[in-house]
Amino acid sequence: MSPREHEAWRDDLAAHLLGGLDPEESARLERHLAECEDCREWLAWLRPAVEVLPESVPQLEPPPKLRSRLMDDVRESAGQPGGARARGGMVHRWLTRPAVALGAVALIAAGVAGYELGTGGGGTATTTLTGPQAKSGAMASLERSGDSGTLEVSGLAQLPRSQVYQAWVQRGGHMEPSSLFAARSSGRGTAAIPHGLDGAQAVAVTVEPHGGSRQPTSQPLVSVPLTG
Amino acid sequence: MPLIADRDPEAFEVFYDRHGGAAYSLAYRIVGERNAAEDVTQEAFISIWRSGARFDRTRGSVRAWTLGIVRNRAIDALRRSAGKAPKLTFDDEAILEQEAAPETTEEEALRRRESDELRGVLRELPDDQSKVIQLAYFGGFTHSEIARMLGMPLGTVKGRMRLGMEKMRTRMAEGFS
Repeated sequence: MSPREHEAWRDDLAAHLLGGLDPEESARLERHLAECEDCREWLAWLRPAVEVLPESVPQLEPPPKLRSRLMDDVRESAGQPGGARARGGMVHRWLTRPAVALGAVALIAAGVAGYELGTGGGGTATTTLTGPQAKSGAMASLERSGDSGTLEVSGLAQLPRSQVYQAWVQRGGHMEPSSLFAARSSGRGTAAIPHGLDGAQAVAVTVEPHGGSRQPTSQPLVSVPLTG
Repeated sequence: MPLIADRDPEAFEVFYDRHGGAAYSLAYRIVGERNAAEDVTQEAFISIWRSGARFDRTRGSVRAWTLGIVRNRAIDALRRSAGKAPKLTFDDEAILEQEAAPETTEEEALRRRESDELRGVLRELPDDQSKVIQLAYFGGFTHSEIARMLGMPLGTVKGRMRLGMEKMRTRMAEGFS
């Protein structure tokens, strides 16, 4: 494929991540992604920019009644006492609210059809692994699902613009480069580990020069041993 | 998520406490009205309770997945509101003045600071890039709808979306401050 064709796909990828493609265009793009590793990598690189968009909105306090209404329905659904039925039909009142009625009917239909519980969509269980706290106070945990996962790190310092945090997958004495990420002002950072966890021993984080490295240039700040 | 998949209401309560504020804030930003934002948030969390195990780790973090569900439900609600005019401007400062959450805990203060920081990054984008990104993500418009609304060629809209997103991603890799 020519560089110009790749450029056209990348315009589509950005629109796709923003939910801005028509369904037919999205389907065409998905078919291309299945065959093009370059575009898959570029998509994985760009995705965090879309994931922070919902976090950029003004932060509001949800009304307490929303929490109690939700938990009533959840407990009732789980068959616990104190659920909606015990409190006089909150589910009915919720169902009569026009904005949710349509979605609720769909959910009830899904409930009749049965739940898919305990595994991921591909039948893979999700497990959370936590590493020891570093001397710096940083801690990492990995939510793993099969060969991929998401690394959440807390206690990170803000880095100068010339540096970046990089995740690594340790396998047989080698460190394989994975995602780059930055610390938010809270000292927390998130990195997707899109693949490579099968057969690996640990996931680690180092500080690297801007743009990342092919091999670590500093000692790991934190690491999470993988089991199984 | 495994505990939610096991249908543990206490685990789900913790999950709501962790993500409910961000979810409600996002829903409000999209639908622009309290009752509708509550309904969207409740609908989204109930769907997660029912199908939490369908979470696909390869598509990002639990939080991103959750907020993606809220976004889709909010856009659906927006489209269901018959006769509503397209929302072409987004006034975050006005929302903050009218509705801002009190910072009663350290976590809320951090959440507020992070969102201020991220809004700052969005504000740094040229207006033409920021506008198409916001119309697509928060307005639920496709690039062809945006092109018609703004009287631009399709390619220009997609190009501006991409340029803006690339700038945001680069700023993230550099650190925001």
